[in-house]
Amino acid sequence: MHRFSRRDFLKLSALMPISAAISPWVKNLVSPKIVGQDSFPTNIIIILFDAMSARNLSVYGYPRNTSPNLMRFADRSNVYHSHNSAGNFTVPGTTSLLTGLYPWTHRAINEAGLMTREFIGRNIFRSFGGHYKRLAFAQNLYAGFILNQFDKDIDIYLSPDAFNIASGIVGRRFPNDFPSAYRSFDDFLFKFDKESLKPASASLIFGTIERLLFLRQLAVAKSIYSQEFPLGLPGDDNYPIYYRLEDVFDGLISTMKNIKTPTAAYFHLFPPHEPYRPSKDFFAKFFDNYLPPTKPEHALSHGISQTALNGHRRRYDEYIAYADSQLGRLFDAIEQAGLFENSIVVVTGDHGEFFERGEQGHATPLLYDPVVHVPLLISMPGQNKRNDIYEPTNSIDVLPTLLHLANQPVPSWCEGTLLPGLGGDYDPQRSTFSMDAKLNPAFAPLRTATIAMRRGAYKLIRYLGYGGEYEDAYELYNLDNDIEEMNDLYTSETAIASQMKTELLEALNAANSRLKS
Amino acid sequence: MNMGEIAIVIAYAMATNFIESLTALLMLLFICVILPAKWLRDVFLSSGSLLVILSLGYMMYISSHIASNDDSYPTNIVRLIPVVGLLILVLAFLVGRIGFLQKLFEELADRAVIFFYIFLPLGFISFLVVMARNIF
Repeated sequence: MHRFSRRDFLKLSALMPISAAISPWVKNLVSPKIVGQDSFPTNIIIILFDAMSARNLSVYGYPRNTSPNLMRFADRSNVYHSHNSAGNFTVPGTTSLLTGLYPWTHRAINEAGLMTREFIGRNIFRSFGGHYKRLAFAQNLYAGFILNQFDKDIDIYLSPDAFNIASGIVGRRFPNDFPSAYRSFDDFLFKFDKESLKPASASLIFGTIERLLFLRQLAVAKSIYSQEFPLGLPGDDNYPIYYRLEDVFDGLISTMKNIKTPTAAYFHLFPPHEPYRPSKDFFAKFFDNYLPPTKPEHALSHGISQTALNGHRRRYDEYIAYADSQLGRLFDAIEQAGLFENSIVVVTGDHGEFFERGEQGHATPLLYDPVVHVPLLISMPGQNKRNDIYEPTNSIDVLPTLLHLANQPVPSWCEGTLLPGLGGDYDPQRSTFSMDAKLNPAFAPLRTATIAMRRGAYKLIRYLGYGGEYEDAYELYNLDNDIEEMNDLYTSETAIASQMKTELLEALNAANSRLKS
Repeated sequence: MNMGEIAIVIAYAMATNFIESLTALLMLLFICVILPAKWLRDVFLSSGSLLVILSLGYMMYISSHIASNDDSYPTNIVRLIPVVGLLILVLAFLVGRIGFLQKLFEELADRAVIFFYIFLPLGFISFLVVMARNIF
């Protein structure tokens, strides 16, 4: 048998430089072409503002100048003027955006709820695949719980308190098991739930000590920033998180500067969600004569006076202006880093906010336009012209559109379609849905819910299971000539009402029957 | 949440309570070591039980006070912690000297042993589960 001699070894060694020289060529020949690396070097950057209603943004024609920087961004974007969220609060709204599924499909319909396990793989991060570095950040823990369901598809997960000045979040200390740790500690053991009957934490010793340490940290932060924030530090009423938007956006800027192409990044920012706490530069910015139209109080509202609602609205507008000022800094940083040239940048909201008909907030069964109408601006790589799209769209359309723009296949399970102007065509016969079903059990057919169906200019709202006159009631509006939804056409335009009602009932029955099967 | 996820949350809760219990026990043993033997060691069962019950009761008070206030630091309560702690210690020491109270707490501690048999293995297993999930 021939032995491998020293002479053979030297011969072989002589071949090594040759192999080194040809290896890049061979590598190019055999390795798969990575989407977004040469022909379409694209990052996907989604910036989401929690509870940001399009109706309160000057970029969409609001009389108060709440969003000058979004207006600047609009000059290089596709601006969607009639974009609705599929849900009216964080859990369903965020889940629909990230999955392209309606709430009645993904079933994340309750407060702090989660999506059904069988659909966990149906998310934007998995759809982009391993070609992309996938990064996620959510200041809102409810959105964080949803992101935690996708933890196997996310490469970098930034803790909800990553850029805070005071925080009592514990889950981040368990990097190998953070989804369970957030849920166990921050949502249960260490949580001081002010809305529950027994608000003290379930962990008597560690929970109390942890909270005392947090309150001490917060007291120091408050003393430093009391002048800067006349209404208190921005934060989350449900969880121990306090921050300055300056710090949060500094964190985002530094994160974005280190982005390696191609990256798919999702940034879920808590403002302008309640509590509305603008900094002193924006506090009292809108003490003006603007008065929104007064609307009749709704029977399902909390009966808040119009004066109080106007006060809340003013604070909300100021908080939006504060967030917008920081967004402007972020846009400048993105520009300087050259990211606008190789990135699709999306600015949107998970749901809106409401200051009318005796109701304030968004966790309401009233699905009027301010609650579901959210901003959507999409800037394509190198885009320098504004493109306005007025056709109705839905948050479930964002996932398929981004996949299409990144040359990725759109999965068949996705319920959304491509957005007009970015690969899709407007279909006037297409109906889209928004819904509130937080009182309905997650895995039971929808029997207590509000469902709004949008088709063209018309919007049909169905109230179901609220008792009294709202046990099963309908309203119909034409948003083209009645954006304030003041004239209920349900009894006057019977043909369109009947047609839309039939379609809504069919869609609801289909969703309920899928659940039973 | 599905059953598996609920079980994991329970494991975290049990493991946390297990470590909390060990911490309380170690604190008690530490106090026992540093104090003269006849103050606490000789009446460990009765005075120790009372010490733990009063301390946990005080923690409950602090916890509920925090919960009912809007994220403000409870300066007054924190300032009083050493004083109340000393008061609890003295009270525990005195009770150890009163015959019928001593007997009462001994009986109570005797009956509470059943919880030890239930929670110790559950707590230990939960602790192992949490460790395993965070190491591997």
